[in-house]
Amino acid sequence: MTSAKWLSQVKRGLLELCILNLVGRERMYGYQIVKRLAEVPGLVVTEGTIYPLLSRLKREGLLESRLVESPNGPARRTYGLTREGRRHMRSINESWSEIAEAVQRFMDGAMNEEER
Amino acid sequence: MKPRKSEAARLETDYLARVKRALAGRDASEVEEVVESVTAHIEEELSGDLDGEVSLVQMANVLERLGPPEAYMEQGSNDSAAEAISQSPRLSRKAVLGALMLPIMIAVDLLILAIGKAVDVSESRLEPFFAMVGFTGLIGGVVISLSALSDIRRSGGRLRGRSLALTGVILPVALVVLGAITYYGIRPCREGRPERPAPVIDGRSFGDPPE
Repeated sequence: MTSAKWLSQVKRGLLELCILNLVGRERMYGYQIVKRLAEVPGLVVTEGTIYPLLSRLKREGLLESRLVESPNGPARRTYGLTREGRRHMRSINESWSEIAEAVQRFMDGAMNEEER
Repeated sequence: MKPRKSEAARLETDYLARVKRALAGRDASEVEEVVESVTAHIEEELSGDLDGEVSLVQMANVLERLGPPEAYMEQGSNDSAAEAISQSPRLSRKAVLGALMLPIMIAVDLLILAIGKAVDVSESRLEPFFAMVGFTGLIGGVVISLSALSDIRRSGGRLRGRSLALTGVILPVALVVLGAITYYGIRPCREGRPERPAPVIDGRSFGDPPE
């Protein structure tokens, strides 16, 4: 697997994790989610790809959406977590913490080896 | 909505059409939702710009940040969907049932006829059963096959059996048309035919009362 492909798959999983955590804190509309994710350097390559991802998470029953009237323009679609989505978020948050910690230990070990 | 210069509007329309093409095969409501979100995104981005018509450059900048529509495809797919697409398409159960409905009902009709003969029941008493079974077969077959066609169209290549479903729609309709032509074609001939005279035996008509 090329590093670009590996990175793309890792980012895809992480994007899902970030979206669930963002929406888990407060209801947000699509544009807000995209802009918040775009603030993280290197996480979002192209902003448009977030919308199909939101749509997929909705299809999987992790997110729900509703249209909310906006004072300055057309109605906005806001997203929130479903009960299943909240359960999934807790589960992947725990998994991520464990994995990140374990991987960091390996990386620290490899760095120390290189330094020696 | 902010007014656009014609070339900017054309660029936007073309981009949205490419988004739709990239998401082809997904549920129509899902595609609509993504297009609606992207349209809202473009509007939000442009609302921050100065007043006046949106130029081609402004629109191109917004669309560049959104990225190529072809990249939308990968993010929208989930593992199970991707797996399903990579596998060979599954035969639609509804298409099979729709096509088999009529032959099954004909078989049931024949069974009723056989049972009727065995227990010596006149055909006229069995006619309502024949009609009911035949009608269920015809209507049921068409309805199930139409539903199968709709499922196959929306499955994005994951379901097959279109020809079977089409047979399930066309065969009952063709049978009804053929039946109607036969019925209305034969009846006038029968009605127009002169009644055969009763046979005459020994100068007396058959059926005359004895003297």
